[in-house]
Amino acid sequence: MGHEARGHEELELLLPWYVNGTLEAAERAALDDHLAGCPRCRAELAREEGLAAALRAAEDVAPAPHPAQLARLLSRLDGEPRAERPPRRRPAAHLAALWAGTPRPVRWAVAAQTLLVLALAAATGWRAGGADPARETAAVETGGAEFRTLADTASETPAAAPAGAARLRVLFAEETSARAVRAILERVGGRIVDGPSPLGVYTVEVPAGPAADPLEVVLDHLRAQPEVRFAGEAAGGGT
Amino acid sequence: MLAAMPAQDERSLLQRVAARDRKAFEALYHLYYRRLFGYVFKLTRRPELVEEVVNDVLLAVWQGAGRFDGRSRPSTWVFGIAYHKALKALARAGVRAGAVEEDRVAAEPVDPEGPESLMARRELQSVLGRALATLSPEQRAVVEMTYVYGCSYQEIAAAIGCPVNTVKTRMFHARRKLRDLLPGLGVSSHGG
Repeated sequence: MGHEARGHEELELLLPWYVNGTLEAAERAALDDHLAGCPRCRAELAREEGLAAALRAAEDVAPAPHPAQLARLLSRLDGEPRAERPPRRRPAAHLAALWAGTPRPVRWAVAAQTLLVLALAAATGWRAGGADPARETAAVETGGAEFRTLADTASETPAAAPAGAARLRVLFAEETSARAVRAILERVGGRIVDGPSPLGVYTVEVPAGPAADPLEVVLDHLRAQPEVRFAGEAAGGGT
Repeated sequence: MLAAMPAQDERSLLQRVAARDRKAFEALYHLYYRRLFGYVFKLTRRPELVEEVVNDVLLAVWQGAGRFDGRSRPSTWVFGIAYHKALKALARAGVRAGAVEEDRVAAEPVDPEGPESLMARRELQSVLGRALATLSPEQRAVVEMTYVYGCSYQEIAAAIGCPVNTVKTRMFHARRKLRDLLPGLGVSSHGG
């Protein structure tokens, strides 16, 4: 009894660190003793455990870093005034590598999607430098029929973006969940304004202008996502 | 959460950063970015400040890694830097450090066009988020470091540079306030 009166206030202060398991052994033992005889502190302990659990459960507010952020920060390490852009991904090389590394039975499926990508590239005026073996192979193997279909689809949606916004066309890998699509677009402040088209193409509006990330950075970020098969500026959508 | 990587590994990472190893810095960046983002967001509750503060903290780590004396866990040191940078950013933004911001609860800036993530917005609007908003940034820092990052009160005192008794009483006042605002906590989790 006397022991309880002596320690209550001091020990009550320590409860949070009893909950998180960082008290030193002597303090912990003293609290164990105290808790056995103090219903108030036991109730308080239960509340603190509830609070700790609630706080940890809410601990998903942080997005993964935007690759452009790291690039900017790295450029600041040396005191450079401006960020270097992350190296631009060469789409042709990427597609060729994808093709070469794909088992034969899967190639036909890949070819169809490759065509979507290439057609989108054509529709949005996105040009890869140099020869494009993937394009040639894919076109030969499927006869180019889907190429036209997609090009038509891609140019169907009116591309006029309101002031302060730009429109992109984005194609995700087939197995990408709606949640993943939302998460990826959220990180670039993107809003789906149309789609998916029958071929799975979304038209996405992103912030543009001096306060927004440069479109190049946004596109680089999207293209760096494994789920994104293609991202390009919508043709005619505010250059 | 602070123990996401053995402290010894983080120490050697910091040593490499001190030796200007950019790859080590990138590893540290990935190791800390989300934790720092969450911490700074919770502390400041100003989504528009978070990214800049996190970058400043990581830059300070790059510049100051050589001064890390190895007596604390590396994470405690990093979070100490984040604490001070976040309070400074709040002061610059015109929020009086140490002020208990009861009046801000209703006016919590949940800007639908803001750059923050949807998840961050949701957190701000939640019951827990609103309760946390009634605490001072200093109180929130202690609550976060204790319950989310698993720091001892001695570590918190060392990180934010104040006596251990201040840490305990800050936590105590925060608990009082949260208890009144979140009466349902702990009711079902413990019989006794």
